[in-house]
Amino acid sequence: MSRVMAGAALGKGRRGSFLDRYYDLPLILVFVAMVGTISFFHPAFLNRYSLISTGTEAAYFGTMALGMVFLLSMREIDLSVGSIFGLTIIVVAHLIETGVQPWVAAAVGVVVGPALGAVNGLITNALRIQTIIVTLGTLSIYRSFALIISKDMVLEHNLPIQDSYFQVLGGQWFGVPVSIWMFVVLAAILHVVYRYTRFGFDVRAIGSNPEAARLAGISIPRMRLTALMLQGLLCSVVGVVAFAYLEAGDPVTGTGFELSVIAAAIIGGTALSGGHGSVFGALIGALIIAVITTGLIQFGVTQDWALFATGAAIVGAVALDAFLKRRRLLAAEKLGVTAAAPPRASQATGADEDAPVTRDGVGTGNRP
Amino acid sequence: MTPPPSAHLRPGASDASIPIVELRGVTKSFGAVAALKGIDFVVRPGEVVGLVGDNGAGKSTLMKIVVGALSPDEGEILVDGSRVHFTNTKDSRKRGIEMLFQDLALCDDLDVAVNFFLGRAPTQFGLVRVRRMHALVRKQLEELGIRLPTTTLPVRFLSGGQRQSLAIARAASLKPRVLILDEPTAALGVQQSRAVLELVKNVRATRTAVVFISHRLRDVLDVCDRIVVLYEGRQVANLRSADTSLEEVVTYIVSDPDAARPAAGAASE
Repeated sequence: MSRVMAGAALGKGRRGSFLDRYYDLPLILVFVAMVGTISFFHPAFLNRYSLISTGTEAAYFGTMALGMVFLLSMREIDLSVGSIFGLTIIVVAHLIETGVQPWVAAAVGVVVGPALGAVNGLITNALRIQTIIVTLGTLSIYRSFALIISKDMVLEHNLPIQDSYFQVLGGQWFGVPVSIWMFVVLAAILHVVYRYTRFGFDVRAIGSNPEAARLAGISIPRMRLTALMLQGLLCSVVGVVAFAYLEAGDPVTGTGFELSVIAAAIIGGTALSGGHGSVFGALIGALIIAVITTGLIQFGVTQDWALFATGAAIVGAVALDAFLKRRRLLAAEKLGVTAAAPPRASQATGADEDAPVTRDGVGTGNRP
Repeated sequence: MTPPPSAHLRPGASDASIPIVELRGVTKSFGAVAALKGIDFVVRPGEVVGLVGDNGAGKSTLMKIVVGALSPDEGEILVDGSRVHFTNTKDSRKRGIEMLFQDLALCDDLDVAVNFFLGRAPTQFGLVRVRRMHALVRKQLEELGIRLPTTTLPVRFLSGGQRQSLAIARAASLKPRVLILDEPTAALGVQQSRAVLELVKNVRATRTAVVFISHRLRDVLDVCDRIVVLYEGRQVANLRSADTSLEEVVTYIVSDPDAARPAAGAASE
């Protein structure tokens, strides 16, 4: 469950131990080992085309996973990510088809996500039910909007492909697709937001102990709304960039994305139970999933088995995390920093040695 | 020994004789059960008041009314001599009344410094000043005489006493005028209790008044200036710690005030 804190326990100094500071290291090693193994047997995996297609695949759901790190860290989840992504594409495609200037349509598209995220948040806050239930519903609702707007057809006609929107966002900068730039830049920004802003601190506080966070004056409904809007924003940014590349608006684009998005965050070391996570880890997690799915195809493995491998990677990552955590706990105990029993555990016994009154049991029958 | 009515005093005056918090004739029932049967209670600036009584005597109910977590059926609450109506704990916090509940409000996954600054980490240009935060926490813990191995340690690894000390230090750092501690030493060993009691004395030295709810009478006698004893929703004694003894306090705690008893409320000689 917890890489970060177990590592910190070993830290003698103020800035923590090596493992505390580089808690994503095991994950990076796994990733490097995977790439190394695949390219050893199939050197073609390392060619430019292969790397770019792997990176682009990771960029789409990986960018959404960056937002999921915040949500999972505060014990929330958003299942509607794939539908927000798909609906954004359809909204942008539809507007452009009806003659709206592509950049204007893109700007509208970027607003779609935060709006849909706000709907998720407002429903959750108003009805006081879990986001997993609300977003399970909006997963279908938002998808139905995409199907209704597109009349269940792929929107690919009358698109001004020569427009700078398609050329710039769908193209490459310095030989690297814009989607990959987007992924890396947003990961860097959100990593800082997660680790070094009040927002990131409060997200972790809520996930660790909601009651404590509330008593400290952190508004959970407001934080939830903000995080869901951030998640929506990321989905629609990906949608706008993806549509520029795809040049076709398929209303079922992004179906099932929520699983890859959540998987990337979890492989990256973010706990479903909340309290801690890693944005950088989610980036590596998304790359690992993309390498599995594209890499295994190099071995002639079919899609079905690639899916199997993705599932195995999730279980493996969580197992590795749990193993490392236990080892660090043991190491922490050796250092004499032992975890105490929870304070309440001992309350029933031995707490009253100084209070003969209660020990005698006097008055126990008097309790109204 | 109900204090004289102080309605004639100017509100907000810093005279030590004006109670920060005053409760008059407070009653509270839960269904058919009368938890509080007309209680007068006073906290003056800079004093440590012990609140003792058997289980069900009404200690926690009384304090929940003080912080606005419960509202009284009858009676009034005065802060600085003027009437207030607290509907939740935010209201009372604004007036400088802070309560630390038995179940500690700490985030296990987060480190000591982050817990200390929960929801109020110091920032600059939107970024949390992590180093400064750790430095500030080290300084403040030192001032209160709390020794922790490092402020980068997640609180999961702290002992019960260290957690309790951290929670109290955090509450004290909010500079409340009254800090209410509900059984702060109940779950602690002797050594750890001693550290917490020292901490309470240090908090008091910062001119923060403390209400100390406890079953452990030795702790209460050690740390409190004044001890209020409740018995089944009534105040049966209001004693100066210096003038009383463990035996006397016990007598008040266990004796039915309606039966033969020493004159209730009289400070012992």
